[in-house]
Amino acid sequence: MADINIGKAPKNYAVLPFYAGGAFFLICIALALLWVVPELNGHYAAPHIVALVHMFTVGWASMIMMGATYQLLPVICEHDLFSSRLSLFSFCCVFVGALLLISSFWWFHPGWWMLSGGTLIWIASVAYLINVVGTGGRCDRHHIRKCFMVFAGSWFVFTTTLGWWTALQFVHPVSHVPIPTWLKIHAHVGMAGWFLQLISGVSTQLIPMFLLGKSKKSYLLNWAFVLQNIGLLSFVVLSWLIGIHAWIWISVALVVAGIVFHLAYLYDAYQHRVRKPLDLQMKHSLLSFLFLSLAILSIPVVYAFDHRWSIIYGMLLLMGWVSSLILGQTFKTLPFIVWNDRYKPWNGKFKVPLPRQLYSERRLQWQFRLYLASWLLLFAGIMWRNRILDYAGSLCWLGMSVCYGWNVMQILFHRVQIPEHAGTVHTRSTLQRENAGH
Amino acid sequence: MIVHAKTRIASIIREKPEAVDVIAGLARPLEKLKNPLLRKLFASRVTVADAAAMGGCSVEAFREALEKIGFQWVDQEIQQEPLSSDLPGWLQHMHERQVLHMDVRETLQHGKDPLQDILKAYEKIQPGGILCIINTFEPVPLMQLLGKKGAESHTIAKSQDLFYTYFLKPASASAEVLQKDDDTPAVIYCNQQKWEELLQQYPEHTRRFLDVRALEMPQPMQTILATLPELASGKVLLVQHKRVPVYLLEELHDANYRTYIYKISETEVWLLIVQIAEHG
Repeated sequence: MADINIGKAPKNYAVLPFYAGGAFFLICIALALLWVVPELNGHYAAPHIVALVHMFTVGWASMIMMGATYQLLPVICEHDLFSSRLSLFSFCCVFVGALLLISSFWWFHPGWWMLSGGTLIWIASVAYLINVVGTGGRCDRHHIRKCFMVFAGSWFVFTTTLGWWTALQFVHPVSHVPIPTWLKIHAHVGMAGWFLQLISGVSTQLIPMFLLGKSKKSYLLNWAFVLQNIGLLSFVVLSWLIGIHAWIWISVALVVAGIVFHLAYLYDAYQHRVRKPLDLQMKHSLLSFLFLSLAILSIPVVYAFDHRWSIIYGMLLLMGWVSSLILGQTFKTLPFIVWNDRYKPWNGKFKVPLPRQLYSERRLQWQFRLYLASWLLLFAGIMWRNRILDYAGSLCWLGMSVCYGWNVMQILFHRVQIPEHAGTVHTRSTLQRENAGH
Repeated sequence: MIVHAKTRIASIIREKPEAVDVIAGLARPLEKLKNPLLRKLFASRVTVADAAAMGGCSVEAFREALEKIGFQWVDQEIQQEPLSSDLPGWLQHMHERQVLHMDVRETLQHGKDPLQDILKAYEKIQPGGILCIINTFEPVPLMQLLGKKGAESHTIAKSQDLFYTYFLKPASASAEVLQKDDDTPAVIYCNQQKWEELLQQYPEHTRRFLDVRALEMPQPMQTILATLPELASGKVLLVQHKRVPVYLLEELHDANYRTYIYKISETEVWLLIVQIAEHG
C-alpha cells in the first residue's frame, strides 16, 4: 500500500465504517472490562467473559480486519474491489450481529436472540468471502498474500458457521460431539484460521513496507501458508473425530512452525530495513508479535495448569497480539485512506497537511503508554489475584481506548482546510458535499 | 425600486437611465458617470455609499435625489468609516524609496481603464512595499480589490479632486507565501499553470527523470528513495507515477524534501522532488 492505488481504491463507505465500528467496540470493551473485573479470576466460559471475548473478536478485531482487507486487497491485486455495496452490507450485518450476539451472551439468552446475532455475523462473513474471492479471483498474479487473505476469508466463514452451530446446540442439541469441543474448534479456527492467516497476509505486506525493508525470502511465506493450513485442518479433523487428545500436539506443532516461518520472514525484513528508528505505530506492531510468541510459549503451561493461565493465554492473543497490531496499524492506514479521499479532488497550488497531521501524535503516545500500563497491571492483577491491580489496568485500558477512539474520529471527520492562497480550486462544491456526508 | 446605501449604482442606472444625470449633478467627481466608458467601469463596482464617499457628499443627498426620481429609499445601517486624520503606522514610517507612485489621472481622462496597469504595478512591488495611486477620487473598488489580496490601504485627500491612496503590500502577500516558505519541506499540489512555472524554474538540465509507472509496488517508493541521495546538489528529481504515493510523501518530508504534485488524472501523476537546504 506504499502507493495507495487511488483509481482503484474502494468507495469510502466500503472501508471507513469498519474503523468507526471498531473504535466503538473498543470503548465497549473497556467499559465491560471494568464491569467484569470481579469475574476475571473465574472460569473463562462465564457469560460476561464470553461476551467480552466476542467484543474483542467480532466487534473489534474482525471489524477492523474486514475494513482493512477491503482497502488492501484491491491494492495488492491492482484490481477494483468486487463490490463496495457488498462491503457496506457486510458492515451492517456484522455490526448489528455483534450487538445482538454480545448482548445475548452478556445477559445469557441462548435461543433466537443469540442465533439471530450469529446468523447476521455468518451472513457478513459470507459477504466478505464473496468480495474477497471476487476481487482476488480477477487478479492475474498469483500472490501468496492474496492466498492468505482468501483462505482467511474461508476460515472466517467456517468459524462463524461453527459458532452458529454451537449456539444451536444450546437450544436444540443435535450433535453427539460435546459443546466444549465445538467451542474449542470454533475458537481455534477463528484464531489460527481467520486472524492468523489474515494477519500473515496483511502484515507481511505492510510491515516491510513501513520499515522500508524487503525480505527476499518469500519461500518462508509459502511454507508458513502451507504449514498453518495443514496444521489447522488436521486440528479440526482430529478434534472432531477423536476429541482433544495427545494427537492434537502434531497439529499444534504444524501451526506453530507456520507461525515461526511467518515471523522469520518479518524478522528478515526488519533486519534489512532502511528506516532504523521505529515510530510508535511500528512499536505497537513489534509488541504484537512479541505477544504472539509469548502466547505460543504459554501453550504447554495452559494445557498443564488452571483457568488462570487460560485467561492469560486469551489476553496474550486478544489484548496482546491482535489488539496491539490493530492499535498501531490503524494509524498507518486510516489517515492515508482519509487523506487520499479528502485531498483527491483538489487541484490548485497549495500546501496540504501530511497524513500524520490528521490526528494527534501526542494522543497516540498516550495510547501506547496506557496500553503498556494496562497490560502489565492486568497481567499482574490476574497472576496475583489482586483486584486493585485489575481495576487500575482496566482504567488504563479505558483511557487508552478513549485516546484511540478520539484520534479515529478526528481522522474520520477531518475537513479540508483551504489555505487562502489556494489558487484555482476546481471541485470545491463536490468536496464540501462529500465532507458534509461524513 | 427599493434602494439603500448598499445598492450598486449600476442597478439604479439600469432601472432608470436618467439617474445618471441626477447622480452626476450631486458632486463634481461623480460627473464621470456621464462618460459611458467610465460609467461601465465604476457603476458596477460601487454602491451608493461608496459613490457618496468618492463624491464627498452625504448618503442623505443621494437619498433625496433618488427619491425625487421615484426610487423608494430604505434605511440600512451603514458603517461609517471613522473620520481620522491619523495616519496608520506603516504610512508614518514609510521611506520614500519604498513607495511606487502611479498617477492614473491622465489615463482616466483618455477614457481608459487603468486597473490592469495598477494590478501589474502592485504585483511588481516587493512585499512590504507601498504603491501610491494618484487620482481624482477615492478609488473604493480598487481598495476593496487589493484588500482582498491582503493589502492595507489609506487615502489622503490633498484637495477636492486630488487623492493619494497608499497600498501596503503585506510581507507575506498571498502570491508570495510559497516563495517565502521555500525553506521548509512540504507537500504542494499544483495546477497546470503552476506546474509549468515550476518546470521553468527547474529547467531540464537541473532535473533527473524517473518513470516508475511500470514498477510493482512497493518498488516505486524504494526506487525514488534510492535515487534521491545520488542527486548532485542543486538537482531535482522529476518522477512520472501512476498514483499519488501517499506513504512516500511523509518519508520525503522527514528527509527534508519538498514535493510538488501535479495530478493530470487518477492514474497520471507527476512529482517534482526538491531538496531543502538544512539550516543550522
